Amino acid sequence: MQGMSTKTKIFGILSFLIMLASWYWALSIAPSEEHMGEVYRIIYIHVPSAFNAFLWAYVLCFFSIMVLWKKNSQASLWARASAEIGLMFTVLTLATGSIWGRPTWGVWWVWDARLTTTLILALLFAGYLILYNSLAANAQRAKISAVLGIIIAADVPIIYKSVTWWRTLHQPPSLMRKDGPTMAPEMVTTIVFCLIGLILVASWLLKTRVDNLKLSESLERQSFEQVP
Amino acid sequence: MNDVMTEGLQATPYLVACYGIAAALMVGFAIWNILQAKKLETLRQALDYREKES
Repeated sequence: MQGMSTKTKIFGILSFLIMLASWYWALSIAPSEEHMGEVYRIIYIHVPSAFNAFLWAYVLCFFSIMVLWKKNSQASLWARASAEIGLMFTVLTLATGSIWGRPTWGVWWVWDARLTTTLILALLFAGYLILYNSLAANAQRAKISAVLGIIIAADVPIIYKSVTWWRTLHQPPSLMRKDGPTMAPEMVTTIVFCLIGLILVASWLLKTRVDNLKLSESLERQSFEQVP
Repeated sequence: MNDVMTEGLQATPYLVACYGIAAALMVGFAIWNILQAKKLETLRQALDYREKES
């Protein structure tokens, strides 16, 4: 891991170890559900992935606001890296949700409000990255992509509320409810543990990705300056 | 006991698929980042060397 500071390396190794420990907990220590059985353990990866997809959409929105408000050029790199991580988690949410759907609903995919709005989030993240990469590296690119970065965050409350606004196959919220979670406390603890593991790994990925983007940008400038 | 084992075995492919995809995405992204960091560092050294030479 040449080019990475010792702190970053230690943070990366620890993050992956915590994530693996949380998965071990989810697959062998945490309780399974009475009616659904062992397949219920998919929840321990699906729900934290969905939370992460939402979290990185908001992080992208935050850095996009920084680009427009503070005219911070570095924030554009952080926004781009957040979009990449957000896309990764949205794809993971869709994949694990689809795998969950087969044994529980009997179908891999259904054009249900929750699933469709989540697919839209994935397409928005992908669209952001296509737009960012297709424009020339200047302030205009930062501004245009920042506007889309803010729009993406608007899809998150729609996804969250989709199960209450429309009649869907997806179950209603069982964690973030006014009257408390409907899950057993041991299950909530496992979800939180898995969520922390994923957030730590995602933060490390974000840090290393931004470091690479910064270095890449400075090398591009350096190579232009050296052209005789 | 047998019912529990059969049920567990039936769930295994779904669990392996979910956690496998998650692991592949995280590790894949991490390896890509590490390899890119190495490549950029080599490029930086080459540019520094060229700058010194000229």
